[in-house]
Amino acid sequence: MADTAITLGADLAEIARMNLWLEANHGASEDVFERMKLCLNEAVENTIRYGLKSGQGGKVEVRLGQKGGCAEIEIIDNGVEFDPLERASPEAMTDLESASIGGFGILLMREAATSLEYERREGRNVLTARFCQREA
Amino acid sequence: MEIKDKELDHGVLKVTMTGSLDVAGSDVADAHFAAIDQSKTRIVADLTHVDFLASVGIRVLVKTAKALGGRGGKLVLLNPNDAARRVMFTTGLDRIVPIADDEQSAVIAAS
Repeated sequence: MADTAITLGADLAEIARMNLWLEANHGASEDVFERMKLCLNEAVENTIRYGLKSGQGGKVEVRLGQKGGCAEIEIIDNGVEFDPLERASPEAMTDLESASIGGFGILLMREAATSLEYERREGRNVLTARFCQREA
Repeated sequence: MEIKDKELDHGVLKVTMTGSLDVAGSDVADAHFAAIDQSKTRIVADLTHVDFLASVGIRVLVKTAKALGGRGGKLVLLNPNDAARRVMFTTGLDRIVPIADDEQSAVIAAS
């Protein structure tokens, strides 16, 4: 796929640059764009915050393309091996006192994407997310 | 992220955010809420001009709601857009923090 791609360094400030790139290149409906942006922000934040090591050449490449009428994103990083799909999604909050203040990234990624796949490829983490138009 | 505070009736403070509750914007919002005088326990967070909400923003809102609740106060969210509402629904935020569609309802909910 890879109609267009961007490479990000191990710095959370890179997410702003990624969002500008996505906005300029997505070519999708508003619904699909919003879901892609949410999924990408959650995945890339998690990778930069926990997977990459600053100053050691950590990089995330985001590739954007189309497959079977759906938008497809590949997120490839050279950080520590990590399959986000192995993590259980937290339950949605039900009361303020017991609510967890974090950990909802994977839940939002699963909700936003039509499908998510992970593979370890040539020493890199590769997360592939597809976004098909949802019925109105 | 730009943030402005405004005193409303009944001792309610309206915090109007403009921008994205992404990583960068949420850091700004977190610092802003943390710096608000502790005597202000009833806060309306106006999200009308927030164009994006990620989990890091949910974290800030839950943290603020918990802190206010611990002081006998309340956080009310005002007028989030449809995408933000979907994020709130998925995470359950809409079940633990009141959401109002207009300022008058928000003040009543916070009071």
